[in-house]
Order: sequence, then structure tokens, then C-alpha cells
Amino acid sequence: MTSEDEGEEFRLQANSELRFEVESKASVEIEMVDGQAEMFGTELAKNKKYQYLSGAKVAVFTWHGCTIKVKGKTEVAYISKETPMVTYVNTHAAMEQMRERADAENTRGPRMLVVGPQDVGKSSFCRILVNYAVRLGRSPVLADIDVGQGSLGLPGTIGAMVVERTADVEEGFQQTAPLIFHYGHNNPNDNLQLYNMLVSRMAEIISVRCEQSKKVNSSGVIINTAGWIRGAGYESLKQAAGAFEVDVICVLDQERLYNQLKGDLPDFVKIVLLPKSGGVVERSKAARAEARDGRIREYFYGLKNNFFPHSFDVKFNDVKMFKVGAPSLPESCLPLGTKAQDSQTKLVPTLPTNSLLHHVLSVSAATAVDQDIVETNVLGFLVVTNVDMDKSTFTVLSPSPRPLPRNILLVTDIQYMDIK
Amino acid sequence: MAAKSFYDLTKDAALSAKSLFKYRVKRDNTVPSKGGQKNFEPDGTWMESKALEAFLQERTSVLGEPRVEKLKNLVHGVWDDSKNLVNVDKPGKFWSHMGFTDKRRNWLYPEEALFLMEINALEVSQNGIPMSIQEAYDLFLDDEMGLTEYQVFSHLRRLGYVVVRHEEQPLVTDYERQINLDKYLDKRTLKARKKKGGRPQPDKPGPSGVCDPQISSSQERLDEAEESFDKSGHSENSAAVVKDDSVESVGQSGETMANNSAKQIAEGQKRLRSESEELESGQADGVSDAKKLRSDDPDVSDVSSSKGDGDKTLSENSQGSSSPSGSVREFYSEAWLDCFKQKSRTDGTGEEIQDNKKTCLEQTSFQDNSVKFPDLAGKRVLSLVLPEKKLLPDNIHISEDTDDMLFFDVDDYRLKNPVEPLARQAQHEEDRERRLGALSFSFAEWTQRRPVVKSHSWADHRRKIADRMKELSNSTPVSHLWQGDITPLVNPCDAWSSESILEKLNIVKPADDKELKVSDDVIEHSHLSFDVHLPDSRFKKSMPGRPDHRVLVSKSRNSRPPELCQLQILSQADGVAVHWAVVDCGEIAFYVFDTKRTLGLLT
Repeated sequence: MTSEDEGEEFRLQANSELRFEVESKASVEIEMVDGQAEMFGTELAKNKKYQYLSGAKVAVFTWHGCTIKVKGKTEVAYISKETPMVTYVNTHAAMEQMRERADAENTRGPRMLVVGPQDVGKSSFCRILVNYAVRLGRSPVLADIDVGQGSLGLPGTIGAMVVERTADVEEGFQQTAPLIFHYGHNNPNDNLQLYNMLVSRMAEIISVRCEQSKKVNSSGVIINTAGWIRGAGYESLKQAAGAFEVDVICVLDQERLYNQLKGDLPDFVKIVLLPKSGGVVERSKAARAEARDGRIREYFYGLKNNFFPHSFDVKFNDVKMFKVGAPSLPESCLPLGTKAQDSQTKLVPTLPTNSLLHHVLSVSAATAVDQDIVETNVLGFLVVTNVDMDKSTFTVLSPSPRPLPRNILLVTDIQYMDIK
Repeated sequence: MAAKSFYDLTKDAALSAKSLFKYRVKRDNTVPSKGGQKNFEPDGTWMESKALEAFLQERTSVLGEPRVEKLKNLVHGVWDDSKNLVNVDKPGKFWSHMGFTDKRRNWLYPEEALFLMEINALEVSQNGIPMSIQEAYDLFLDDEMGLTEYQVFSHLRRLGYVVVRHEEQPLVTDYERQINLDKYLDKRTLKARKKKGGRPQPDKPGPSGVCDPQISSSQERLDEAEESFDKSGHSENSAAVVKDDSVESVGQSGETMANNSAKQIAEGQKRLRSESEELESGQADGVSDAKKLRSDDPDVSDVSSSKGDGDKTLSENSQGSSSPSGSVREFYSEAWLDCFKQKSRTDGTGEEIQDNKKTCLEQTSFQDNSVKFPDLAGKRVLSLVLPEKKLLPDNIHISEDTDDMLFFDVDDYRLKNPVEPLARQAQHEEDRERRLGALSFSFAEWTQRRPVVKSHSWADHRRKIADRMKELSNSTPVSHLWQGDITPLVNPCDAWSSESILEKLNIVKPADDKELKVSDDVIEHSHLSFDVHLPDSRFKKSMPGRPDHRVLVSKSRNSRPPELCQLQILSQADGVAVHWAVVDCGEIAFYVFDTKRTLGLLT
């Protein structure tokens, strides 16, 4: 732990990694003063200061050796020589070979599904691979079907984006035009039918995008998944593999899952088992919930409070509000033989009530109600900060000033309390 | 009758010490029997008439019992006809869980007052004359708080529950409670929230300032009362009331208020003053239309709120521009829009474009093992190859001098990251799933699973699976049944599950969605009457907290079970159970729809 104003200097040898966690309510500044280093595949600029806020987990890897100055309160800062980076870079090389082949044959680039239990570094692995591809001039599609984390949209959504620039060292990938679908819960199990439908829809739309651009097509798709790998979660992984028509599945750190997939998927799909990094930290349930909350906060306020969301009133009559999935009826209430899931992907109009308070709303890109709203992407999110039944208005927190870009809103289960 | 006889007693003279003692003796507290089961028809026998007579006698004697209480112990209240509330000067012990306070007066709701009268804790007078219980029943109960509601209220009160009128506006949301914020919300915040959320009162500074969470509903009641007072002709001052609503209703309300205050001389002057202020302010604002004076009109409140919002956004804007970075997150751009458009186009036109598409979206075949992924599975040491330079981004350089860089020690990795055994519960679940899976045999699933289909791409794989399905369905042991003119309705390959067979046979049509839709008239008919809290010495009227359950009252003769959607609406997000009280001639039954929504009888 360091607390001096001068900061501490770490000298990293080649192929080693500096890992640290930022203490809560503290911030840490790092600066590479010598050598070359990268963070999850993004190169660090020399003599530039990067700032990390509380709770951030940082790993700086170097292929060449470097010196890094760390200023601020860190928890357990240490240098590790054991990293799976060589394995990962080999994986990248294999992907790159496949891309070259796709370029030559004018076919589709490799599509990779990254699976594994929770906390094995799936997202980081995806980030590394995407960054390497971008550094070679590719523009791969990064898809995230983990509704719990929602690293592209918000928790409760799945998303994809074409990556043309490497991720920012501090803030990750720039998200100006991601493709986001509204799901509405933070667990795929809450509405599995809808989840699978959205994953298939996203695969379709990405295919259309690939058709439009040869570069995107040959660069391939990297899909990050939720760490839900048993029971229905496993089935939805198989479903996603089929929907995206993946070529490669990377299983991080679980041989059991690897063997299961080997047996259940057609044999032309390459399934490989990869090690996880020793730097991954297991997160508790509370930490996950906090991360979700932080993600929503980040959407509205920015990572460093650099955004300024707007707050304004919206009349009930000016918007149309829907929830996906009719109230689920118990089987006993239904006539014999009908399935309760029939209503799971239906759009149900909802009346605004007080219970809407603190809920996150998605602004659908659909312009008319007769469009298939469920399968249309969303343009952004709002949080209801107040409901006034008498005036028939509700107050929302919105990323940009009024008016709203569309008037069709979808209600999510996700709640966020706007406390400054 | 009973109460009247008591008042007859007291009208002329106070009780003597002897008779007082006599009546104060603790009486038999047993509740008279309800009379047992209902008979089908009168049979006219002597036994029957005798039993009936005894039964009636018992009732009369119970009702005829004088209720004697020391005057000192009785709380005195005054019935306010215009507001349908009882004004209490010095509230008694019951005040901890009943009544509410506006700025300077203590009010009891009619049902509370009636209950207190029945338990001999309150005496209510009207025009200076004490009221009998019978009168109180007649006067206090109206459409909103009817006899059935009162019966439920008094029943629950007698059982010891703290019963308050249902709060439409949840003061503390579930989410706030979940993150433990409710303990830190102070009274002022709640008040402000109440003010904001409840009836906005830009033009009501006068007699009913907000001091209590219940005030908004009481405020509503006051408003309504005043309105109904305006319209009802039964008041002695009705002649003075200008009947025409549309013209000059500012004057009307002013006049009515003046009438009101004339009736209550004690408070009248103060009220009149505040009300005239109110009127002046209304006129000064240029609100000439009387309608605008009414506080529930959205326009008026809009003005004030939008003003506030304007300020807010303004300040935020200035914040934004003054910040160094100044970047603002916008809504996402519509870069993907043409993908959606193109998708729907291709969906529309169909096959020939589909074929076109295949060329560039064709899966590249990597069957020849030219591409090698590192793979830990089944290896003790994973030897890695040095990737070609051109495959790697610049600045990635794997130093060749250290040999061990190219070997990944899998054994060591496994040692360091041992496979965690499944949690016991997970193990159980898995076992159970496997057992169940083994039990339910589905032909269709079986055909899909094995034998393994050899294919080289996803498209090929799908085609082959479909072919196999078709083939297998044609070659079932009973395929000869399809050869004749008459064929069976269900093919073995359709037998995914019992549902799919039924669907195929079309025996049962799926439930109609329309029945699940919420129709507007259903919503308006039902409203929750009471929030019921468990008896708790720490109960606070101002912070009632989360109720134990809520009660929806209905009479048995016009009650159907509530619709599912209705319950869905009524059971609010905070997960407080809704009890459905059905009153049948004084007998009360409570029904609860639990999470499985089975009809269960509570009492």
C-alpha cells in the first residue's frame, strides 16, 4: 500500500503484469515513465497520467518491461509473472489467421463465443482480443449478451457494437452507436424466451451489418456471455452459439463446461479450453449489485462525473409505455395444455403508476406502435425520479435535454436511485 | 334504542352514586351467539318461535345495556358536517394510532370516531347536543366509508390491529427501503415529497397546511366536503349560495367559505382571514376562471412545477457549460437503423436475396486444422507456437530467449486453480434435473440428439437435422398407419410434450390475450380501503412504515372474485399482501391471494 504523495515506482520485467485495486473512495493515478505497456490490449501512452476511481481493478501488462509510477491509495498492488497472456495472444493469432482466410475467400470472419463461470475474466479476455484486432486495422463486432453486467448498454440489456478504435485506457470502448436491445431484467432466467429471442435477433442484425461492410464481415464477431452455465443457462449458451453460428468457443477455466459443449455441439465448432488470469477477483453478490448501480450511474453522469444529465417532466399522454411480457399466469389458472410462456414476449401496455418510481426506462427506436417494438433497438435510457399522478406527469433523468427522441418507452425491472 | 335510553337517563339528571356504581360494574363481556346455521324455511313450530324469541331477547338486552362512563374519561368531539370529520380538542390515548392533525386542529375520521363512540371513549356532539350511536351511524357513514367498510374496520381494530386509511402514495418506495434509505428520510423530506406528490396546493395556504402524511387524503376530503357543501341544498345557508358554477364561482367559493366560517365562530375569523388572502392571491395571479382555483387542476400545478424545473435544468446547463470536459452523453446515434430496414426488406422479399447473401456470409471452413488454437483440455503441458509477426499488432514481442514462455504448465495451473466442487444444493438440483430428464422421454429430442450428425457448417447442420427429423418421422414403427386414406392426427415426431400433442389436436385453444388486458372500468371500481399494521408500541402515525397488509372491502351480494389484472394493479410493487374482505350480513371473511394465486380462506 502506498500513500506518499510522490507515489511508488514499479519496475516491471518483460512479460509481467502489475495488478492493483483502487481503495474505495480513493483515486489512483498511474503514469508510465519508461518502456512499453498495455492495459487489456490498449497501449499506454508514455508520460500520460491515467486516473482510476474507487473500486477499479487495474492490470498493466508489459511485453518489453517498463516502469510505472502509481500515485494514490491502492489495495494490494503487486507484480505477477504468471499471466496467460501468451496463450491469449496465441488465440488472437489463430483468430487473425481465420480472418486472413476469410479475406482471401471473401467469406465470413471468425465468430467466437466466450463462455465460462462468473469471475474468470471473460470481459477482459474479450477486450484484449478486440483491442488486438483493432490494432491490426480490423473492425470486429463486440457483442455482449450478459444482461447482468450490461457493459455496452445498461444492466438489463444486451448489446453489440462495431469497434473501430481501441478501448480507452480509463473508460473502455467508446459507446456512441451501439446496438442495444431492451430485455428488462438482470437475470436471463426471468424471461428466458425473450432473452433467447433477442439474442437471435441481435445475431440477425449483426449479420446484416456484416453484409454491408466487407471489413466488418471479415473481422468477425466476439461474443461475451453471462456466467450462467448450468441448467437453462447452458441451454441458452447453446442457443446463442446456434444463433450466431459461431466458429470458435473459448471456455475459460472450466473443463466440465468444455466437455459438455464438446458433446452437444456439432463437431465443426472449435471448442477450446483456456486458462483464466491469476489476477481475477471474485466478486460477491453485493459487489455485483453495486457494479450494476455504478454502471447506470456511469451512463448518466460519466465515469468521472463529467456528464450532466437533464431532468424534466414528461406527460403521461405524451409517451406510450410498455412492458415486455404479460403478467405470468400460473399453469393452474390456464386451460389444460396451454403454455404460460406464450405471453412472455408480448408487449403489454402499462399505465404509469407510483410504482414506476426509480425504474429505468428504455427509449425504443421504434417510431410507431405497430412496429415490432420488442425486436427494435433502443436509443437510450431514462430514470424515473418522480411520478405525479394528479398532474399526470413523471420526472425523468435523461442523458440529453428534451424532447425525447421517441415516445415509446419500455419499462425495466432495473431500479436506480439518483443520489448525488 | 339503547343509547337513547341512556341519554334519556342523563338528560334530566346526573346518575346518583349508587346507580353509577351499578352501571359501572363490569358486565358480561361474552359476545352473543350469532344464532348458528341458517334454517331453510320457517316450520312454524313452537320450538322455533321460542328459540327466535330468546335470540331476539338476548340481542335487545345487549343493545339495551346502558353505557356508562365518567364524564372525565370521555373525550369530547364535535362533528363537522361540512368536512365529514370529527374535531377533537384533547385527544386521548387512542391518538397514537388514530386521527390526524392539520395546522391547529385535531381531526378524527368518521370510522375512527364511530369506533371510539362504540367503545365508550368518545362523545360527539352536533350543534351542542350529544349524539347517539344510532345517529352517528346514520351521519358518519357515507358511500366512501360505508357500513361494510366500517364493519371491517371495527373488526380489525377489535382484533388489535392498527388500521389506517389506505395511503395511495407510497411515501417510501420499496427500493429506498431496500437500500436502507428509509431510516434516513426525515420528516421534512417526506413532507416535501407528500406535497409534491399529493394534491399540489399552490392556492391553499390557509386552514390545511400539511403536517401529517395522511393530510393529503384528508385534504382531499376537505376539498370534497367543501364542494359538496357548495352543492347540497340541505344547509340552512343554501339560499345564499350562488348555484351557477360556471359564472362567478370565485365568488361562490368565497361565499361558501364565509358561510362555513360563520358556522364555526370559534375558528371562523382566522379562517376567513386566510381564505380571503387566498382569494386575493388567486385574483392577483390573474386566475379569473374559477376552475383554476381548484387545486387538482393540472394547469395550475403545471405552471409552478415547470417553473421549478426550468430553474433546475438551467442550473444544470450552466454547470455543464462551465465544466472543463463539457462532454454530454447523448442518446445513441441511429447507425444501426439501416440494418433494421434492410433486414425487414429482405424478410419481405424472401428467397432470392437470401441466396445472394449466402456468398459473403458463408462460413469459412477451417476443417483442415491449419488454424491452431491453444487448448488446455487433456494436456499436461501446453506447448505454444511463436505466432507469426504479421499476425500480431506492433509492439507485441514475445521474447524468444526464455523457453518457458512457450510452455504453459497445465498441471501447475490446475493445482493453483482447483476445480471447486459444486455446492451441495447445486449438486442436488443437477441430480434432480438429470433424473427428471431421464424420466421424460421425448421422441423428437431423441432424434435430434443422436446419432451424431456429421456436418461442416451451421447451415449444413441445420439442414441435416431437419432432414433427419423428416426421415425419422417417416420411418416410425407405425408409419404404415399413414398409408391409408384415414391417417392419425398426431405424428410421433410431434410428441415433444403433452402440450404439443394437445396443440396439434387443437383440443384446447390458448388463452385469449384480451382477457389479460386491463380494462379501464375494472380499475376504477375497486380501491383499497385500509392499510393494516401489526400492533406495535412504536407505531408512528407520521411514519407508518410498511403495512402488514392492505384490505379491499366488498359486500358479498355483489362480489365476484376480483379479476387477476385487478389484483395485479392493487398489489403494489412493495409486495404488501392484499386481503380481500367479504362482508356478509356482519360476518367477515378474509381472502388472500398468495403468490401462487390460489384462493385461500384465512378466517
